[in-house]
Amino acid sequence: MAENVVIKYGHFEVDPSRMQKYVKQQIMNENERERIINCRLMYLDWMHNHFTQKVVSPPEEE
Amino acid sequence: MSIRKNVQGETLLFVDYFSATQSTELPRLTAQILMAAGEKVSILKKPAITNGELLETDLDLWIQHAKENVTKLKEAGASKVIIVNPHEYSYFVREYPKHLGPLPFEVIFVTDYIWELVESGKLTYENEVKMDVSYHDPCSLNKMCNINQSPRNLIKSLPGINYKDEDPVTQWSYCCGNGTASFKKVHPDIAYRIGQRRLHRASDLETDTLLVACPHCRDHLTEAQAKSGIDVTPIHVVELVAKAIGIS
Repeated sequence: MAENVVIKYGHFEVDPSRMQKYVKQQIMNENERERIINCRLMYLDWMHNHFTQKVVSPPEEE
Repeated sequence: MSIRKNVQGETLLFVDYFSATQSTELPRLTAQILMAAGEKVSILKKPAITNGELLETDLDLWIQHAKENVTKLKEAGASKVIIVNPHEYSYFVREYPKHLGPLPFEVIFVTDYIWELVESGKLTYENEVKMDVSYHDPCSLNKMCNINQSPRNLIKSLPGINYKDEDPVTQWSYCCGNGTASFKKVHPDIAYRIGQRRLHRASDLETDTLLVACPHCRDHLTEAQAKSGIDVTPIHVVELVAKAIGIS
């Protein structure tokens, strides 16, 4: 998959042509795209605020 | 109060049929607030239909009305269109560009615009609003358009208010029960039970007022409150802002 990931408007995106075969296509404007990205970030924050009890540190380098 | 009609190149207040006939206090208070901030207010004399039921049942006719609205607003010379009803806002932002391409004017929701006026110092509060309140995120605003900060900012800025917040993401699973189109007409009993549940959630926060930013939510929750007797009163955010500014 990695070779077909593209960067659009500063965000990673799977090459749309790969998705067309499996996902029903619909028209989406810029406003809608921004809304979905914002909602994903909001949901991530919400999950952290509600369910993260502690932050696990990465292992120290040897 | 004098509202000028169809003045070229100005901020235009879009008053849909629901707001013009069943929830008239919202556009009237909005116009008064804008004028208190020194803004010039224009309105369309007769906008075309933006009805959600028509969108569900006859898309072609709905698009014809949408075209008429955009043409009228363009001819009126609107550079900014302020929308008081979040259902109509979602149509302008999500549906109109889908069918008609980019719009020739900027579309702004009323709480976003009023918050800009408060933030820039054009609006100042004169009265304290001593109330225990929580806020209900309307589906059409929070879930469909991702507008959830400006109403909260406005509420928090009101002097004397005791505000208990519920996260907008938590409220993704909430609804007032009205739905965005014909849900309440098709399932009135379910709509009532959902409304009751929403009022109970507000009551659990030990608040006596549930603020909303949607006239449909206010309408339905007022009905659910009257039927159920739950001690939580639904009020529109704009009404409280007007009260704090000193507009009766």
